[in-house]
Amino acid sequence: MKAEEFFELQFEKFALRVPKGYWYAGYDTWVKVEGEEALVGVTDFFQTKLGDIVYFSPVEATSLEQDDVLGTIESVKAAVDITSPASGEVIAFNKALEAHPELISKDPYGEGWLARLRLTDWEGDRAMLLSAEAYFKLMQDKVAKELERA
Amino acid sequence: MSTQPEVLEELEEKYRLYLGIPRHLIPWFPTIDPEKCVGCKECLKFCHDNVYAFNEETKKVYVAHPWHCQVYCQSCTHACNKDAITFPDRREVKARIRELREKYPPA
Repeated sequence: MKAEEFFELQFEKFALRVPKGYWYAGYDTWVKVEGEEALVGVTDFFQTKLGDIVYFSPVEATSLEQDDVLGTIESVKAAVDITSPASGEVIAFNKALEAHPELISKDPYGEGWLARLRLTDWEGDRAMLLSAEAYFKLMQDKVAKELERA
Repeated sequence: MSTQPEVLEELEEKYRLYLGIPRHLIPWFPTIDPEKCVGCKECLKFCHDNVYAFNEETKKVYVAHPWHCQVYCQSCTHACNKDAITFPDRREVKARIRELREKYPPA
């Protein structure tokens, strides 16, 4: 990913990236629209907080609405339910994560995608999502909150 | 449990809004079943947002700061091995948020 294609924030030893052109939910998941389909996943900020990821367990569902649980990610620290940022028919959950859940950490916006959906309410969903610029600002606020806790 | 903070201004700045919507208008917060809670405090230890507190008299956990709960986060349910924690129906909350978004559009 080229430098001009994302926003970046340094947080402790991590560089937290927010790719331009994606859409984001306030609960730290992203949507990459590809025509009538979309990939969804978790953001750099989200996977950084989790630590080493050991398992992704998708829900048993053939369709999802925005804000439904799409699966659970388990890390060495915690098990966290992932909220779907978009509505759609489930084309596939990322099978590569069965053997390589670490892809979520290594490449959260690429090979670490969680689900591919055929979008069913993109206009309605997009109204509830954030642009990359807006999510970057939100992420900065969240990082500041994390630093307060430390 | 009151569904409104007694004085909204008491809510810390960082908890007052969810995407521009007053947080206390969004009905997302945990409920603990006191019959199931054994007071292990795993949820209290897990939650970084100080949602829970421990009642020294009942020896059980209770929801002290419902509006601190991050919208749609329910990770504490995994910390509880007694299934004592439940959350509202997501689709109902989603519908409510969409209604509120019309009243509180993004800046």
